[in-house]
Amino acid sequence: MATEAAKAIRDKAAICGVSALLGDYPDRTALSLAVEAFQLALDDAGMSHKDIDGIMCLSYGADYDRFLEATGVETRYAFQGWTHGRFISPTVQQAAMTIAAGLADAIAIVHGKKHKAYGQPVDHEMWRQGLGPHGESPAYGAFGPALAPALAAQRYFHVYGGSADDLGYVCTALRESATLNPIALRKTPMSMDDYLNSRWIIQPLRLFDCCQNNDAAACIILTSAERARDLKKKPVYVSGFQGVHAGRQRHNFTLPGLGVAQQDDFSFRPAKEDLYVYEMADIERKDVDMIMTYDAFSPVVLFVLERFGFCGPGEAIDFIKSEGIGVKGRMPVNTSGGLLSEGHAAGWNLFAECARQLRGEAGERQVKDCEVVQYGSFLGESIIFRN
Amino acid sequence: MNTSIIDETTGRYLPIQYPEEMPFWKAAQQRRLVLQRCDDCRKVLYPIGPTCPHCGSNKFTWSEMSGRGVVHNFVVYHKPWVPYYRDRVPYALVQVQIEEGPRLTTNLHGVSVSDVRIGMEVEATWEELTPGVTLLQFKPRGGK
Ligand SMILES: [Zn+2]
Repeated sequence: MATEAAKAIRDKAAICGVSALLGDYPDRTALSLAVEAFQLALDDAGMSHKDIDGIMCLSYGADYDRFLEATGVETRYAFQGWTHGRFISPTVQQAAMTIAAGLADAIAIVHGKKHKAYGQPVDHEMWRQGLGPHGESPAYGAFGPALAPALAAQRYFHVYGGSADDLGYVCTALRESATLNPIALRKTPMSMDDYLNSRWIIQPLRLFDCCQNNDAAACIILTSAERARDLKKKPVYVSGFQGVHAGRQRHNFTLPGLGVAQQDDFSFRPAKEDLYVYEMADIERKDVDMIMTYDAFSPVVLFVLERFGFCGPGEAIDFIKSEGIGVKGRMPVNTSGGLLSEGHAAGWNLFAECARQLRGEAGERQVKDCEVVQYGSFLGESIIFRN
Repeated sequence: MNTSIIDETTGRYLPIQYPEEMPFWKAAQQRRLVLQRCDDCRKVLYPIGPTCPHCGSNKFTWSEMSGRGVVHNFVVYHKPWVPYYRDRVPYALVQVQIEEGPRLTTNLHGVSVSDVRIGMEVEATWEELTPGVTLLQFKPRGGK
């Protein structure tokens, strides 16, 4: 349940500046991309680098202290974690709490990464036998993050029916949204045939079920709600949040109950205590105008819909077909095209899209009357943003 | 600590044998499957570890498993992540629920990938990777 202490920080912090750089930058370092993203987000906010007194990042090209050394920013609150999609929303949550507590006035969350550069912590990930989060076991040829969503999708279709081909409804819908997004890396329309003709990677996942892998940088700046109201853009309030739910029953890229690794087998339906993000934000699920989720692999789009009860267990494919998750659908999901089609900045670009939609800056892909955006994921972590 | 070991003659990744797992690896060399059974709640702990996730007890006994189980889940790798698998794709990765409860992740031998099904009855088989390393695998029950 959302406590009084949690409710007291509702809308106390806001996103005031965002940026995302996606593409191929052969002559640039990760640090240089991160600095450019930082400067773009400052411009977006109408702030100077002297206004920033907090930095947060997950491991990337350069560490936070090297970034600060390069930019001359002095901070009083620095934090660095390890890059994982499931830690991006907790980082935004931590920034909002830090600001609400007065420990920093303005926090820049900074990311920059080259997708083909070595020596980055994430490069070692897929070889970590017995330690990795996706079931890695190199002696059995069990490599790569795609393993976990492939295992989850296989169980999902075994339990509820349907087949791998149904994931095409997710991928084609997100691609359609990406065609309306000028910065998307994949703007060529994708038909169901295009999808079905893409090659298997780890069956039941095809190439088009896997996200983009590109050079990227992004920056999200948060400040107090009060200060955000005096800045250049309309504030994007952080209204409510809930954490990553983790444990033996919450394997990565999987809904509870699907029976991946040591998970029990059951049909997951969210109980009230699984949904306190709405209570903290003082909204109900029906108030959500659109969803952003960490779509590193297509099955997780099904899982987020079921995790938060937008549809019942096993109903996500039917929900997508009947309600629509495109820009004009009943429940738009990842209107930017997501990590599958817009591009991948460790997921930070998903928050840039939250801000653009809530500011009314999304152009042709603008969701009509967009007032409440839910960022959420299969592990239950979530943030409600409002304008 | 090393995070990977590669067999230089084949290019295959070898399993890391963590110190606390040695009873498992030593039994594997004798083609026996042993795992930790909790002395207090009697459940089998898995993955191999320092404490029982079911009851919190630190007391356990390495115990012989039946080696029998059922394919609970599987995927098929078509992309060779490393050169060793270039001529070995497609290959199946399975999660086998053994009779004693835990699910173990291995490959499935003795059956073509198009015939792998959830619910298949399987039993342990052993693959000698090097003279010092024998790897647990599964195969259809009664199969080769
Ligand atoms: Zn126990």
